[in-house]
Amino acid sequence: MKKIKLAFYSASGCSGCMLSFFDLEEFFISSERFSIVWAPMFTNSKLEDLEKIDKIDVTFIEGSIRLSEHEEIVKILREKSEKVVALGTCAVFGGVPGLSNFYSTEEILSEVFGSDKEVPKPRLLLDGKYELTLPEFRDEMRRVEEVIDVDHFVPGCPPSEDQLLKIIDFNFEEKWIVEKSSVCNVCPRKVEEIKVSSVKRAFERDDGRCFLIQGILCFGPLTPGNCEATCVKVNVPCRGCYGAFPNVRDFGAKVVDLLSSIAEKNIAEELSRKYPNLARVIYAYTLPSAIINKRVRKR
Amino acid sequence: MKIGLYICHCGRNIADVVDIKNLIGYFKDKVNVVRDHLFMCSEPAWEMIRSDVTNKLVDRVVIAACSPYNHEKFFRSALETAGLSKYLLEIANIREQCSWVHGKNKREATEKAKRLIEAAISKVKTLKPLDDLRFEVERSVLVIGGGIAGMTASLDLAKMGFKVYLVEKEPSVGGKLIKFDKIFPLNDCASCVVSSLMAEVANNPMIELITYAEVEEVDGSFGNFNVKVRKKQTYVDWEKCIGCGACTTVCPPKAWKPNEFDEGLSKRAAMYIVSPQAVPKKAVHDPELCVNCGKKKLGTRRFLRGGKEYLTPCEKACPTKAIDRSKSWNPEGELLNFNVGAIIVATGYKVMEKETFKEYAPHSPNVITALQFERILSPTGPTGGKVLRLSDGKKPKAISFISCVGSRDVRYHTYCSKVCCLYMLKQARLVKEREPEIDVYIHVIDVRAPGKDLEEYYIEARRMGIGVIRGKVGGIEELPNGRLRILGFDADLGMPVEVEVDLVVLATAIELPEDSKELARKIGVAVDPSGFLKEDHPKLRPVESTLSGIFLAGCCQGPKDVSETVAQAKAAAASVASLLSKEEIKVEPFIAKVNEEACSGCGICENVCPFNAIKVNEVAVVDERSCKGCGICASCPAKAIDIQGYSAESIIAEIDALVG
Repeated sequence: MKKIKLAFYSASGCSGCMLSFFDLEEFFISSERFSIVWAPMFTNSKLEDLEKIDKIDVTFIEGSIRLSEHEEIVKILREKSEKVVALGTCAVFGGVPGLSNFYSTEEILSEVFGSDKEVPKPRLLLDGKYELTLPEFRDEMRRVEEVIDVDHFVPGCPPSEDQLLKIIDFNFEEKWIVEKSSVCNVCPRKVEEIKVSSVKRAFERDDGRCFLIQGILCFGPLTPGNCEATCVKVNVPCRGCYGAFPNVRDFGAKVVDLLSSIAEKNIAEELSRKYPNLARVIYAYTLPSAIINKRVRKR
Repeated sequence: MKIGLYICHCGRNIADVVDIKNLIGYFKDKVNVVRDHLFMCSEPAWEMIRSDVTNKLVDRVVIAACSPYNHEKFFRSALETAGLSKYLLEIANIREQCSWVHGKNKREATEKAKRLIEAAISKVKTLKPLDDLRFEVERSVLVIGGGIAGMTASLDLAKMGFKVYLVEKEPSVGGKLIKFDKIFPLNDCASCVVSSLMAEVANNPMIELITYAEVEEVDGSFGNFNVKVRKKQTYVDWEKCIGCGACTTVCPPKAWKPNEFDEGLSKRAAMYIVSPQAVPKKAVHDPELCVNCGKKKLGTRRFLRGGKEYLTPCEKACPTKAIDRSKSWNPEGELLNFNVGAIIVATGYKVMEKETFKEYAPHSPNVITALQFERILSPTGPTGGKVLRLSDGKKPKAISFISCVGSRDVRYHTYCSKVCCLYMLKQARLVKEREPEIDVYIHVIDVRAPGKDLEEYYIEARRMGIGVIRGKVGGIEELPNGRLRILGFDADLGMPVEVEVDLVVLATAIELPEDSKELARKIGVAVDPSGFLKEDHPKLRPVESTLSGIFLAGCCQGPKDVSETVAQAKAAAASVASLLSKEEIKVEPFIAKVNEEACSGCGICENVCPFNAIKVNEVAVVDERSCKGCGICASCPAKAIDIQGYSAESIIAEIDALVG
C-alpha cells in the first residue's frame, strides 16, 4: 500500500495545534497508513531536505506568517503539495500573534530589544563555516491564505479532537472543517432571548445568566461550537478562539454588528469606557483578517 | 455581462453642474453602452433603454439621474417590458446627491458623479435576477376609529363590496363630531350629518362594527395582516340590552364621575350609555366607578334573610335582565382574531387640556375649552343648548374666545391647528344668534379662513357685531366677583387692551392622543415631528402611511376640518380598493434570505427581528409575507442572512468603488 506523505510546518505558532495531532491515539494507530516526510518540529528536517522531496500529499501549516523565511517555506510547500491545510486559528485568521499588527515593526523591536541599536544583526559564526543570516521581519502578520492558496481550513486554538478525527484519514473534501453551530448551541447558559442593556467586565460579579444578557462581552454567538463551550462551563466568557464562521469576513466588525442589533439602547459609550482596549478584545484571534487593519497600514 | 450606462441631463438640473461629456468620455471604455439624454424620464429615453435591452446590447442597466425615489419604478418597467429582470437596475443619484448640493463646485461635482456612477456599476455587477413576490390578497379591511373619517371610509369600502371591520375604542361610534352642535361653513346640524352615517355603519351587512374594542396586535403585511382586537368587557349582555337607559338613572351619586361625552361638564354614572345618539345604543358598566350597591360584588350572589335574592338597583331597573352581577364576567373581555388585506388608521385627535396653560387661569370654572363650549351649545349637552355659565347657571354678559392656545407656540406646538379660527367664529355666531345681547370678543393672532365660503363666513361674523381683536393674549386674571379680566394686546390700536368677561373659551391645540401614538408604535407607522402620523409623501401619497397597506384618514394625520377629513377618508378608501381589487399583489423581493448551509441556528435573528418574520427551527426560516427587509437580521453572527438586492457583497462592492 502506498503511504500518504505528510508534512508539518509551524510558522509563527506555538506548535500546539501540531501537538494536538500527537495527542490523538487514532493518529498513532493509523500510523502505518502514512509517513511524515518533512516536519522540522519532530524530525531532523532541513530546508535542503524539503528541496529534495518532489511530492507531498498533505501539508499542515500552523501559525501565521511574519518572517521572510515563513513565506519562502510555505511557498515551497505549496508547490510540492497536493493539499495544503491551514491548521489552527493562527494559520486561518492570524490568531493571537496577529495582535502585533496593532504596532509597527519599530515599536515591536524596540519593545523587545530595548532600542533599535541592539537588534541582532547578521554576523559570521566563529569558525567561518556557516554564514548566519536572520530572516527579514515583515511589516505585518499575515494569514497563510494571504501568501499561498489554501485548500482546507481547520480553525481552533488548538483544533478539537472531533475536527482532527474528521481529517485523520487525510482524504477529506470539505473546505472548512469546523462545527456549523455556534458556542451558544452547546452553552449551558442557554436563554430564549438575548438583550444587552448595560456593559460589565468579566471580573465583575457574575450572576450565572447568559454573559451577554449581563452585559459581559461573550463571543459565543459568533464562534463555532467545537469547543463544547469549555470556557463558559468554567464561568469564563467566550473569547472567540475558533475565529469566525466561514462566511464572515471580519470577526470584530461582526461583534459590533451583533451588539448593535441586540443592544436595547445605545451602549457604545459605556462599552468604550469599560473596555479601553476594545479592539484588542474583539480582534484577539482575528486581527490579520480584519478590514480595518489593512486600511490603516496602507497610509 | 453587458452594462449600459444612461446619463440624464435633467434639463439643466444636472448638466449645468456636472460635466456630462467628461462622464461619457470617462466611462466609454468601462461599460458596454453609454448614452445621455436631456430627460431620461421621458418616453423616447425610456424607449432608448428598452431597445438597447431588447437588442441584447445590455443586460445590466445603470442610470445616472435623480433619486431612485422619483423614477425607479418607471425605469424598471423599461427592463421588464424588454424581457429582463427589472431588478438588474441601479440608479446613481447625481442630482440630489451631487449637482444640487455642489452647484458651486463643478469640477468636484463631476468627480463625485464619477464615483457615484462607479459605485452603481460595481453594485449592478453583483446583482442577481429577482422576481417579485406574489401574494394572495385578503379582500377585507380593518378601519381603526369610528369617527367621521372611519365611518366614511368604511361605508365607501362596504359599498364597493369589501368586508370591513370597524373598530372603535368607545362604546359608540360617532367620534368627536357627534358632540358638536353645528358645523361651519353652512351652520348645518352636526348630528344630522353624522347620525345617518352612524346608523348606516351599524346596519350595513358588509361592516362588522366592533365598538368598545382596541387593536392589540397587528402581524403580517400588506395583503394579509393578522389582526388581534380586544373587545373590552361591558359587563352587560348586549344581546339583551335594548338601550332604554333605565339602569343609568339608578346609580347612587357616589358612583358618578365627570362625563367624557360632555367633556367633563356633567356627570355620568357607573352604568352609562355614551350619548343619547349612541350607536350601538347599549349600556356599559364601569367597574372602577361602581360602588357595589348592597355589597354585591361582581360575580357574587347575595340572599336576603327571607331567602329572597338581593338585586342591585341596576339589576332591578333592567327590563330585559341584561345586567347580571352574579355572573363572573371575564375582565379581559374577548380577543377577536381576523385577517385583513389593508388597514385604515382613523383614530382622530384630542384637544389640549386647559390645565397646561397656567397664564389663562385654568382653575376658574369659567375658563373652558372650545370643545367644552361646543357641548354647552349642543342641544344634547349639559345646558340643553342654552348659553349659560356652568359655575352659577347664569347667562354670561360677555364671552371671550382666545385662539392659538398651544398652537403656533414654540412652547407647545409650532403648527397651526387650522380649524380653531373658524370654529371660534362659528361658536361666536351661534352665541350671537341665540343671545344677541351677549358681547362676544375673539382674540386672534390673525384670522385664517382660506377656502370656499370661509372668508365670507368670517365677514358675516364681523357684520353680526363680533369683536375680533388682533393680538396675543398675555394672561387672564380672575376677579373677586368671579369675572375674568383678559390682558391682551390690540395690534390695530398698537396698545394693550383689557376686557372683562364672564366666560372665556380657549381654542386649545389639536394633537395626536397618546394611545394613538402607542397604536402607531404597535403597527409600525411613523410619527412625524409635529406629533401626527406621517404620510408617505405630502403631495403624491397623502393618504398612505409609511408602511405599505396601511392608510391614514382624518385628524390623526394632521389637523383638518370635516370636509377635508371626509375627502381624505374617501381617498383612503379608494386607494385601498384599487389595491385590494386585484387577485394577487406583487411585492418587491428585497427581503431576508437565509443561506441554510451557513446558518448556525443560534437564534439571534429571531431575537432581533422587530416583525416576528424569522423563526429558527434547526435553521432560520423567513416568513416572506412578514419580512420587511429591514436588514437587522443581517447582523447574523454566521453571516448566513443577506437582504436580496442589498447583499453584503453588493454593499461592499459599492463601498470599494466609492473609496477605492
